[in-house]
Amino acid sequence: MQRTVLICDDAIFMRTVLGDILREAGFNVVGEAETGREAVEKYRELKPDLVTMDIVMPDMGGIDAVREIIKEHPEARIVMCSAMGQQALVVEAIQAGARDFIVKPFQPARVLEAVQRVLG
Amino acid sequence: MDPGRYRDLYLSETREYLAALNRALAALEADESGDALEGAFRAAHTIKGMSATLGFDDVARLAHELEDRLDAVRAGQTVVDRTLIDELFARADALESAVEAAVAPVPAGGAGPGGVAAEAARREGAGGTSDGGKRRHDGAAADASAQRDDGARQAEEPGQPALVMRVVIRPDAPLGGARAVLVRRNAAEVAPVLRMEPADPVAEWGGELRLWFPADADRAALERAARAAGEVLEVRFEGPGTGTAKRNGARNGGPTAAEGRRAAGTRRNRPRSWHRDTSVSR
Repeated sequence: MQRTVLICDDAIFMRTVLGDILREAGFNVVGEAETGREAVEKYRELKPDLVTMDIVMPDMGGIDAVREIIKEHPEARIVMCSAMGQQALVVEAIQAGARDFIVKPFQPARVLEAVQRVLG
Repeated sequence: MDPGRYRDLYLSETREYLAALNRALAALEADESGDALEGAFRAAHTIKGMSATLGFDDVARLAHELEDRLDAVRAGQTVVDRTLIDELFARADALESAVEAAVAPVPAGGAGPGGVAAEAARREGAGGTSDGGKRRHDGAAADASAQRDDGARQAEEPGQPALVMRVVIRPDAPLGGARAVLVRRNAAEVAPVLRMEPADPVAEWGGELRLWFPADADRAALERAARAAGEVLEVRFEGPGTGTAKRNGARNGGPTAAEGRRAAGTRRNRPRSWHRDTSVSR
């Protein structure tokens, strides 16, 4: 059975690139979110196996979205999408409950390694 | 990543973010509002990520420098005045030129996209200085320091020899310090972490992490937990029953896992009180 993924990023470009990497590896991208608030709402609705979460987003940032999702669903598997230079924010996200992180620019092999690690 | 596959999407969305950046800078010029600053920062940050993904390194560098300047304002290190506004608009113009140059067809015998972008940036004369990508550091350092004091006291109590796990992260792994924090969090699910060096891996990462545990901690489970964090090159144990500093770790966990299981016996199901670490983990 295909694993389901929710991709959260405010940039269509980044959602497209990440979605292509995951779809080509056999994942089912069931939803996308452009803001942290939308990510929380779509998680409730879709209950995906995995969430990829950008850190910098409008309305509600990715770290606050992780806190909200984990508060309601401690079992949620969330991978943060970070840029170089955001290490302190990645640590904050880990402390909030994120399981792993990937760093832009995305390397497909590293993205899939992280996703497989988190899904076990 | 094939730039051609995503070129049109990149260009159309980057133009939208450039427009948003200019609107935000105009709002910042008008009233210094926090929303405008956040909007400008987000736009620069997103352009940086998209450009880096397609290998447009010069565009990404310009976006990163602009992001740093805006971050300095957010951190209260730079005041918003006429000079700064002019500089920010100049940087936005340089960024726009670099984006257009990066996606422009390369003339026969001409420079590649990166070279064109760099040339455009130089023409625009963005100038200025970057703060070198230094970021605000949250409370992690203070937390880690407090944890180190507490852990060191426990680890150094007479008659309480500790098991030390050394974890080497792959040198090419990005954000190695954050990866070390993941290793620690996973290990804390197996046994209490008495001490960690470096105490704040984000601030002083050297590629290797050392964690202290009670002497009877389950080595095999610790190694599995460490490797599950990803990007782990090597795990070694030192301390009671290991032969001090003896290398007993190996990739893929062969002999180490077996030795760890023998040494640890059946101590697999720890009481819940071991499962939560209060310093680095939430």
